[in-house]
Amino acid sequence: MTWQWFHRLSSPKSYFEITDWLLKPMMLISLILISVGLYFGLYDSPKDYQQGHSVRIMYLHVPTAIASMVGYVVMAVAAAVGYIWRIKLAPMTAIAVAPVGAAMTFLALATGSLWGKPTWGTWWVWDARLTSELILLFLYLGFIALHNAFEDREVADRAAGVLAMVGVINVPIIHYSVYWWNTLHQQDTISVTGESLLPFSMKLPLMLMIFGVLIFCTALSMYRIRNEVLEREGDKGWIRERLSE
Amino acid sequence: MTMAEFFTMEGHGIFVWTSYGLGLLTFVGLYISTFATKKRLEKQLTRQFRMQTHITETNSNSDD
Repeated sequence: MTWQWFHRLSSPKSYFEITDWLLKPMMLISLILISVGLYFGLYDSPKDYQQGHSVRIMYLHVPTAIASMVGYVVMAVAAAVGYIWRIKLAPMTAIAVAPVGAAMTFLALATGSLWGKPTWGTWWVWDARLTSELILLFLYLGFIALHNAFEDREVADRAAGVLAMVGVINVPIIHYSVYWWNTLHQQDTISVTGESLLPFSMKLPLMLMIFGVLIFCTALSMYRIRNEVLEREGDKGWIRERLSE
Repeated sequence: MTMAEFFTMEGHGIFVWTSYGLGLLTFVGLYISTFATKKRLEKQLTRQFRMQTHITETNSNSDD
């Protein structure tokens, strides 16, 4: 009885009903946050006294790096939920999030490289932070490739799901790599709980961009889950009714 | 700050603008691929449903 509401909420049909009114406002909010964030980040914020203007790459690098790790955790948890409880939406969530997460990982690596050149004098070093983030990209791509390798979707969900679950160990490694090893990559400047080392003029665009990118990725992933539902449950009567409206 | 200063960023412009250019391409690419898939699936299903309705109607007509 207590779990009925959860099962009802996690049914593909009610998922469509909820996201019908949720997604457009989310897209709009993310667009506003990113636009204002870009204005401050690229124009109305100071340059760094050591790094100069290249510090502006931070406003894209940090949000995409955070999104790459959050995305992986969401994917792994969804895969695990699908594996254990067989809730239909869970494996759909895992495969919907994967390309978005992979894209964020790519951006974090690319912008990091473009920031590293003027700051460290090199595009790439094999330090723990950069290497573990590169492994994250391979985990995402491996998940997508493995999922595509099976004709049967349920088998694909389970096989790729195992990879997603095992790979999640890499996420804390990425996060703590800058503390556990002596890396060229710096340690965290901002903190959720503790004192932040950034002045407000830099923290404002960074926060706007972090929330903007996270909300955009969430909304996009939710649209992709809807696509998964259409793909897998396309023969259902309620979908037929929706499309004939 | 002049327009030129804004774009050159004292020599760092190339790194900053390439970063944001890649970012724009990636986000737009994700957006387009997501909504192109949505459109394709909706079209495909609508056609499928229409064909099924057509078949059911022809069958029930031939029964008469």
